[in-house]
Amino acid sequence: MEFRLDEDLVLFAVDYAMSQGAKYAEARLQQDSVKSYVVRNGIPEAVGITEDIGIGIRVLINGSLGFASTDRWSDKNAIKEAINDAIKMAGAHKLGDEQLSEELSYIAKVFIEPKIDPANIDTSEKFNLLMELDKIIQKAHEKAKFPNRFFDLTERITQKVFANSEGTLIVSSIPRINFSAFFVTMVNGQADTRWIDRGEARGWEAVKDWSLEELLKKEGESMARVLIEGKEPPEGVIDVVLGPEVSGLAAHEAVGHPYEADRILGREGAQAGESFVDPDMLGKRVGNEVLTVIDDPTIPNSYGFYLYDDEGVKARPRFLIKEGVITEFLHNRETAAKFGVKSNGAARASAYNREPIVRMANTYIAPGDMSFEELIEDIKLGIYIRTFGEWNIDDLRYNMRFVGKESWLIENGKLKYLVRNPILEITTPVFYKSIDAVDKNLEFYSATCGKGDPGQGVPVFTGGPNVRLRNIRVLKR
Amino acid sequence: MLKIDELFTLAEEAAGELKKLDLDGYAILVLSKLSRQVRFAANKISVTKTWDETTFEVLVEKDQRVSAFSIGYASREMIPKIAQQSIEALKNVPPRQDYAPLPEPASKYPELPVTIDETLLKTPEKLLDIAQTAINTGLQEGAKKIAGTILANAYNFVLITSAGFQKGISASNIYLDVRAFMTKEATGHASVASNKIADINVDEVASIAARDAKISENIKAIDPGRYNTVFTIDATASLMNLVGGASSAYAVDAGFSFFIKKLGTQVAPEMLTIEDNPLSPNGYHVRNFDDEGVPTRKLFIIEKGVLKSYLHNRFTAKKFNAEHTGHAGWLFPHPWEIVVLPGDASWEELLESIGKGLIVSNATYIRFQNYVTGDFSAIIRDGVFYVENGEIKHAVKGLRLSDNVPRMLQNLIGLGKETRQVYHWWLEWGIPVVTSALAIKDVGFTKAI
Repeated sequence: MEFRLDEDLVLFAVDYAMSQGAKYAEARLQQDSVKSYVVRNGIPEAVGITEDIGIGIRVLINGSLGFASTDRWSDKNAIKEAINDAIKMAGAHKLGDEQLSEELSYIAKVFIEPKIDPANIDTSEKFNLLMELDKIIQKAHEKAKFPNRFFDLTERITQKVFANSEGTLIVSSIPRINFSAFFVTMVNGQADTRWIDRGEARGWEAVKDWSLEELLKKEGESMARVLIEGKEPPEGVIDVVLGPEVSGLAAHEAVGHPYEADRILGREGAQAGESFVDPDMLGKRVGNEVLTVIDDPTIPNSYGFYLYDDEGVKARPRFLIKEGVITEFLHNRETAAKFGVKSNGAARASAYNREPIVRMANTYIAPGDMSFEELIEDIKLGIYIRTFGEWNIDDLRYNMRFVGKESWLIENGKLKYLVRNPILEITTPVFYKSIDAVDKNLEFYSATCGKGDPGQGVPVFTGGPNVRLRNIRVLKR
Repeated sequence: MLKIDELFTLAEEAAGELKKLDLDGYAILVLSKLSRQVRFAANKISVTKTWDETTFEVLVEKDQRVSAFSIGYASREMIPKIAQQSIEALKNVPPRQDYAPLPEPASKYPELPVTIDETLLKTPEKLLDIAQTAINTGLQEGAKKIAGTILANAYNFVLITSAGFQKGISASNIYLDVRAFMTKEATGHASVASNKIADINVDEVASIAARDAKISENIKAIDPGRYNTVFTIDATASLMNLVGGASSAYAVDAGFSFFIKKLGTQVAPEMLTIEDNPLSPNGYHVRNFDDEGVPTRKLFIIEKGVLKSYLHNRFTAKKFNAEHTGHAGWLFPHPWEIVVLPGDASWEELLESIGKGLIVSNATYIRFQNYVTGDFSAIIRDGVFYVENGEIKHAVKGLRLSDNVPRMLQNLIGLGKETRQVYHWWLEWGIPVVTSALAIKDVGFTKAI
């Protein structure tokens, strides 16, 4: 992959901002090159190409943060105008008391090369793959029809040069590839819908490893069987086992988000919201010793991969909950300064024109050493939720709901039959406390996490093993 | 931000390059935008932001194959190269079966009575004043903590197509979103949007947010179940985003819609009429032509309760054998601005109409279990109140809106007469909405343990 970004422009921007009175300045020249291929109901719709390139500058002046960006990134006068604007707007507000935490400075290069560059794969091969998947899903079950089908394959290269007034200079190039499928399943006039996502920070080799043909066949058949065979779930207080797709989502929504320090401080109050978590909960036990939740940007090939964050801080794994105890929140330099700690490298910006805010990367519940059979063997009556559809959680991250797609009744330690739309509506503290065992089958799923205003969608992994919760109330629709 | 004349020159230069290629059609949309945002939280301005961007959106077509790309101002010399490469790349891909060529320009286009609000360009510090006023008003009204956003855009854009269309628009838009806190649970919220800064009634929005936060202090748990419910203007705007999004023919064809096979049927009581109107003088999202150069117009989506039209671009119009409705986005059709025609009920009459029931002031995080049936749930917040005989008795905590959109539409029992234009950070389809409050019977609510 060719690297086309000019370090000198970034250093110029930082120097100019400091010359205009900024106490601190950082600049990020970022290029996102994106190609996407869409097939809808068997029709190859279009190739979509985006070349998004520009420079974003953040300054600290008079205790206020100002951010400005321009897509005229190669024009030094345009860069000056943007900086002048950021300084004017932030400087005009004289009541600020913002600070950034003190951090080490780094000079580093992070270049991830795909084994197979998607640019070297012919466009027709990509469309043919999606059209073949369109045929496969239609044959997934003889008693079902799949009248509406949507497939998207997106490849992206993100290249950045980041520099700040403290001497940090980070240059990076990271490829990502993502597959999404949506389909409607119809059986005897009844319909259901399903989304599937796969994504990694790799090249075309990832698509080969995903075995999409098998995946689509399996998921199409699953939806058809739920409609054909699915029975009403039992209602009441029973044991529940969440599959990795569901436990990973819970790790993201009910652990990652409420542990974002900007939410805890109220900075996202009007947008993503605040958090039920208070600063003094650090060190408190919230769950059983089997519960460890980690957010780790450094997992090779992961969808949320990075080694330095968008404030130039070196990334590391963050143990949000360790053996049932809250051990760490997610910080950027702004929140770290308020907490009196060092940043743990959680600042991310989704594009050149977005400010870096506190984000997750790859959030997962750590696996144990049990098998799935051992996990369910003593459950007399329960539900196993392998995949989910509807989900949401309130903005304090306290009150959440997941509705199962492929879900099974567990009876006397065995999966008995499929059940339809079991609903888990539960508070986060109860969720933590109810987990009494996890198995060894850790899986990761890709997602795009949304936060901020304007919105910033960033790639993440959610992950976990099969997780057992005791005595949970299950509802039916 | 570049001037509209400069954009026409840039677009014509790009068109000149595309004409040298062996294409069947092209469209070039050049947008130049200056955006400013002030965010505030915990009674302080937390960050100011400015964006200066000029973007080229280009569509090229050859032998019923279509490629679209987006490229920044500084990279515009790459347009012919990317156009050539993308058409080459599509050579071995089957043609679109729903292909229709870019439409010829119409003989007449509606007037668009808007222009750029110069305040945004000349005195951007005004946005800081608005933010500070929102904080001060909210605190004066008794709230303990105020957070929010003001975002303003001034923009020029032009569209040129190979079918001979060539027009531009200069406009601006602005929204203010305020959230007030008494405690973490006791919150209020309101939002207002327009295309002129003078229309932004800061005191009204901040006062509503503070008022609802204060009422929310007296908060109690109630049983989940079905309640007659009044949805405020802000909550209705969230629900109407679902209706607007589901009316896109693309959503219908892809299976993302609860309006599949519902055209011409009674989907709501007669009192409900919903338009798409991109021609309003104070509209947040104004347009007098769509992304294919087709004139826009006021269009009934639902008229007297009957689903009258899906929203079409040239591809969906062909596939559905329907009329192009002037809703082409770059690749798929979408609403411009949803307008729910008001009813005649006062706020007090709406509350009285539900007897014992709830007020819901904000609905976010809307997620579907089943897009086709319309089963969904949503987080409700910023003022959920229990009402008896037209009086708010107390706020309610812990409930979740869990229902079905088609059923809720059928159960509409009242429409308010006061309207406001709403746009903010998390409307599900990003569609601005002008609406009144409304009342719906037997709305489903669930609760976590």
